[in-house]
Amino acid sequence: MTHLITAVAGNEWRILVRERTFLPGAIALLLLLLVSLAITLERYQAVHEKQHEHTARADADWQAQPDRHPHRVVHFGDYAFKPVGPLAHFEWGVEAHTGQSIFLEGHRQNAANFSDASESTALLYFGQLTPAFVLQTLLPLALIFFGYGAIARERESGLLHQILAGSPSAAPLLLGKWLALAAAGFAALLPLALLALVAVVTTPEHALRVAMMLAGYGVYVLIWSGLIVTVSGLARNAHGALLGLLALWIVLCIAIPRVLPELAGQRHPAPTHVETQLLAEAALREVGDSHNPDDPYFNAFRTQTLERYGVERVEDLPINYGGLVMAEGERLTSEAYAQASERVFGQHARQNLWVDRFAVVSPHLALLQLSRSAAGTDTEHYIHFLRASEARRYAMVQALNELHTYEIAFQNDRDQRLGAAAWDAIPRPEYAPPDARFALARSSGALSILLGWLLATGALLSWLTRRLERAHGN
Amino acid sequence: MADSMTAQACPIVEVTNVSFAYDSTPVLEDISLAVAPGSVLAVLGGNGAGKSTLLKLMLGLLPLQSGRIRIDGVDVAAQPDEARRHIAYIPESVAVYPQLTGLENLRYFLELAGHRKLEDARLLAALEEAGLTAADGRARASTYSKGMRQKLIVALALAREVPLLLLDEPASGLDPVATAELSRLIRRLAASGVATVMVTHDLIAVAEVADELCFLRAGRLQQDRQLPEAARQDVATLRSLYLDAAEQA
Repeated sequence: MTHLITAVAGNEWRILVRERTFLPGAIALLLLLLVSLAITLERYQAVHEKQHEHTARADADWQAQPDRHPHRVVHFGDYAFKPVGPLAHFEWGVEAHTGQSIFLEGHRQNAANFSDASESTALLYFGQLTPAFVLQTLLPLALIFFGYGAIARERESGLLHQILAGSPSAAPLLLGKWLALAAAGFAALLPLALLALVAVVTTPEHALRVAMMLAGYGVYVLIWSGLIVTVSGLARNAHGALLGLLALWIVLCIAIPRVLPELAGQRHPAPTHVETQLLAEAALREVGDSHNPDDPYFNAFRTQTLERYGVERVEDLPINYGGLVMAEGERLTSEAYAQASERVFGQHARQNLWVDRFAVVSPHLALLQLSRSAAGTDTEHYIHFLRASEARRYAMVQALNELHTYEIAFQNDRDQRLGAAAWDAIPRPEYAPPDARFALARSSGALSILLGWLLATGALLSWLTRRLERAHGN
Repeated sequence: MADSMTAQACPIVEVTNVSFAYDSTPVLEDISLAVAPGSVLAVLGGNGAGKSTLLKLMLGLLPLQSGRIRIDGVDVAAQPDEARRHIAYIPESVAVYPQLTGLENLRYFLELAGHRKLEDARLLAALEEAGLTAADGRARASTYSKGMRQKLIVALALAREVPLLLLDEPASGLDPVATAELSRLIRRLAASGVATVMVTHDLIAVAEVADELCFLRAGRLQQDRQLPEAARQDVATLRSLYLDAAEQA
């Protein structure tokens, strides 16, 4: 059986490379892969350099601050950067639209900056040409053109009847053709495998992510190869097989991956960033305004503080009341923003859940999720970065408010300065992306869907084997 | 004779009381015949007489409904795969892979039939025996005529060393030269002991190669006849035999 399968696969390969369509198709695919790789590597380099430069500049600016009031530092702000992982240049994911850096300052949460979408008109018009797009969307199309006639053409010419009349079973024939077509797909994955190897060597902690990605794309190629052989085996002729497969490609790779997220967005609408800001500010206004001397909340806060310290006036407090008000105001602001943000994150999670539930109908969608998750460029990784950045921002601002409270006197508050050495004690941790287990947990559903599709493809081929054998009396 | 009563003691083909119907329409009724090694049996009949159905039953491509067929002693109903190992089948329209050379086609078909890789020299010898040159063997099959494609399949039969050749309308679409070459090839195979069953309504081909005749009409086998010497080179005599058989039915 094994030698028959390899014989069929070898023969299919020989036929494939001698087809007039193979060489131009393979070259076009290879060129697209190389161009997309070149583009993304350049982008990776540019983003990496830009982040490096901005980090160095932010550090230098932070260190170069003169003696100043701590609240000036709160408004001077700082930057948080989401490092670009080694697989992110293969799969941009949502980062092209979300950006990878955030300006951290007091009293507000900012959105991420420096997204490719905001810097590239071409991206807004044409979307991304990434290696992931080429492999997820264009590789199945190339495999369709390579393999649509695998069985249909043999049926048309009479070869199928002739071969099955002399063969004990159709199974080696179908398995061999599946293997040959999958081998063509695996060949297209070689650049990804090389990048993966480099990623594993340079950053061993990414090995699990690399393994997830390679497994996902490998299974995807097997699924498409099996579907192509199945449809080719069911079609009456090669023309019908091609039309059927193109329709399948449009549904699985174009329509569903675009329609489902759109429907999810309509079903669970998430507010825009501006709407989130407005919601947070409205919530804040309901709680209290630290700048309004007659605000009931802050009047009560002052009374409680005076009682705690057993004094009549804020001027008599052993600490700077202005700093306390700033800290309380920041706490309230952060809570309001956190609630508004969590509402947005919740809607995103519900959208993702809704898409996940229906991703079972498209292996393309499942691979998209797996690929982005493994690359660390999906929504969950982005939200992880936003939460970590917010935690850093809050810690920084409250540390400065603490300096304000304890190191600046209430009298002549605004005229006082602290030495630049004080800023060294402010926490400025670099963002640490989650480890691969985070990605694995997020994409286990997608991986299960892909494996389910693979099993279904195997079952379809098994059914086709019996059908062909019945049709030819085996 | 192509009759079980008169065939040699160890016939290659034994068809015994075979009947077959598509749904409720009878196609073959109580057919019995036998073909000895080295004998060429021509099964004649008009369109829809059941000739191709008979071939498909011999190949095990249709389930046997009644009766028994043995190929080189192997029961087709019980062991269809094993029975097919003893048969080289040449359909009316021979198909080959146009992207492959003759040699590559031959090697691949042999591998599918369960033969391990054979040496080029042996394959080339089979091709030459079938009437194709080494240059033909190394040329892409897309350049082959129908006659050359048939020779390629005959070469396959030679390389497989099967005892039985089944031909479905072998002369269809061939020019007279190619028909004559195919006839010579079949006779040469017969001389080496290969039994042949050909279904056809081409009387010229029958006159050139057949040793024995049987007529199928409306699913029934007419009286089997040894091909008279007079009919060997005389199509008119053959036509008269054909019409006689048709009238008897």
